[in-house]
Amino acid sequence: MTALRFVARRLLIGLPVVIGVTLLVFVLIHLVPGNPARNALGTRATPQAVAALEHRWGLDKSLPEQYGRFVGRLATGDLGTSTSYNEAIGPLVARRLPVTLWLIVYATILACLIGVPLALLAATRPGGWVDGAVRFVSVAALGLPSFWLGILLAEWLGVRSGLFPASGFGEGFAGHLSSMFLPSLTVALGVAPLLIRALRAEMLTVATSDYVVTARSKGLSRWGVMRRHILRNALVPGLSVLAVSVSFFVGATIVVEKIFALPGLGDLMLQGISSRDFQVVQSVTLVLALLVIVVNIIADLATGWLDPRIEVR
Amino acid sequence: MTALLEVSGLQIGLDTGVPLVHDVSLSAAPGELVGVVGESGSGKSLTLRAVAGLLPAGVRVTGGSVRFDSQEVLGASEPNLRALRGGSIGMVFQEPMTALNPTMRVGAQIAEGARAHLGLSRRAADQRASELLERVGIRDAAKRSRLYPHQLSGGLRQRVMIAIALAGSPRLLLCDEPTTALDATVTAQVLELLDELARDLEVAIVLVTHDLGVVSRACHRVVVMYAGRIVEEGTTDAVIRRPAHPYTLALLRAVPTRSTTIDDLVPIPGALPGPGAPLDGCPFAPRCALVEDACRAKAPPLIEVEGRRTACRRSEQLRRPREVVLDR
Repeated sequence: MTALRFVARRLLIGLPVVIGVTLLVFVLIHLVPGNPARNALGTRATPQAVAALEHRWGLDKSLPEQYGRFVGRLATGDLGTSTSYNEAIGPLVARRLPVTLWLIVYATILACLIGVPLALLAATRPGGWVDGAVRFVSVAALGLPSFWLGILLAEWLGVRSGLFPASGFGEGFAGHLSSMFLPSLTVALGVAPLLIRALRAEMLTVATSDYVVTARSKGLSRWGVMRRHILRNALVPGLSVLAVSVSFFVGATIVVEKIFALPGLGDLMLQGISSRDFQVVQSVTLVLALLVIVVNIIADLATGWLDPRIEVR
Repeated sequence: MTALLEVSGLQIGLDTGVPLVHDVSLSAAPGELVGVVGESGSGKSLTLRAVAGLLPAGVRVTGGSVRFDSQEVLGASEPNLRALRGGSIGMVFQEPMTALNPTMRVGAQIAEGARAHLGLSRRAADQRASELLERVGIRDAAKRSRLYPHQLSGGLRQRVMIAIALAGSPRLLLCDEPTTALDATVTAQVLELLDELARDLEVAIVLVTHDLGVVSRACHRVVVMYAGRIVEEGTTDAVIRRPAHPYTLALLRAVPTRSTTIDDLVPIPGALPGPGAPLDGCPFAPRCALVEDACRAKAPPLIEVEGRRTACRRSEQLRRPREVVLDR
């Protein structure tokens, strides 16, 4: 119950952020040259026809008025109509949202599956060769830009070996699981190094704390001390690093979706920008901003669950 | 009475070779409470940690022997040490706030030791955790075992700490400043509890503290350490009533009692010599009122005087302190 109230309150606090983000995007997109009506009608349309379409879409109104109409519609749950797809944006976003959600969740899980064990290995014997190897690989991975890594993975694990599909969303749960593997791995390999470094450093700090000496004085095995006492306490700060990285890659999914031809929100955003489809760009921004807020709420809930001293309310 | 714990000639030093503890010998028999007192940096906690093989990184034992139940502990394999730690040897640490895992329920922290050493099932271990909490005087034990450390008061946390140390049915309890973080009332309760454990369970207890009041109330015997060496050792009564080392006397004079005013308290001039400082003579010589040339020339050995051991050549010159009576 307190958790529900917490979520509601956080969403409410997030509202001004969302509004702010849409306002920023609204201003920015109008700074970019290009006219949606001209774009839709083609270069040979008469100025009269363009003006008529602009009038129909409300583009002849002043900017504050246009933004006011956007927010007003939003309050009723209407995202407006796409000028390039010529259909309501609500269903359009709803169709593409699952792809992006899959990418975010899958990548987060993969990042944890890669990051937590490697951080554990590295922290068990700091300064050992495993630690050195993990550090080397993670710095190397951190240096790889995702557009290049994505292309490499698609080429080697997708096209050449045929282990995984190199593009598309796939059909059904199993299909998604295999189709989304390479794009998710691309994103995860960008996040895992940050997670490894944060967790490793945190575990080494926790290892010097008094309660770890207490745990050792109980005669627990090295692994028992590591798992029950060190890892759990190191996860709390590790989680906030993860939350920040996930928030960050919500935006970066645009690149990955393009590489793997995924019909997600990032792809929709790109098309919206290139066809000057203001409504689509704003709506996708809105949804991505909401996603970032939701990710952070989930992280805070998880932190409260991991650390009983932190009260979620 | 044969000693359960027998430390002899223990030497501890940094990996870099700087010596920290010199030639420390002490013993504890079942049911006996032995106090180890000294200032911060006197090596008392290191001595205690060495017994359990829990020296901090960069510090190691460089000589001597530690025998538990006639078995050598130094150099024992890690599995053997693990069987001792938390099993036959329980440890109680100073700061119960930081010495308890903040993200684990206190019951589980007690139960994990019981599971590791007594081979109990999860349910039986939880049961034992509740029993131990009751044993250390916590009411509503079953309910309180579900709480986290930050939900308990300092006194209760220290009791939990003791329950953790008792989880594996130890025969020896090593207590590192168990009362330092507690107020006077709770200190008295914890000391009473330790005394009970020694009597009822025949547990040998080594209690490290900087507080002579604690020693005088709880311990049967006391070892006074200074700069990594034992300077005096004997029954609490003898050492506290008629100290035979100027350092012990100076410590006693620095303890406030009910009848002292601020003018009666005599601080000890100077400071502890740093670790590794070259000391040819008595380590206390630079701060001692009775010092003479011979003290600076050669470190005095521990000698038997009036039923206790002292490392002072001039112990007979010590004035009887005006009846030092500590709050009992």
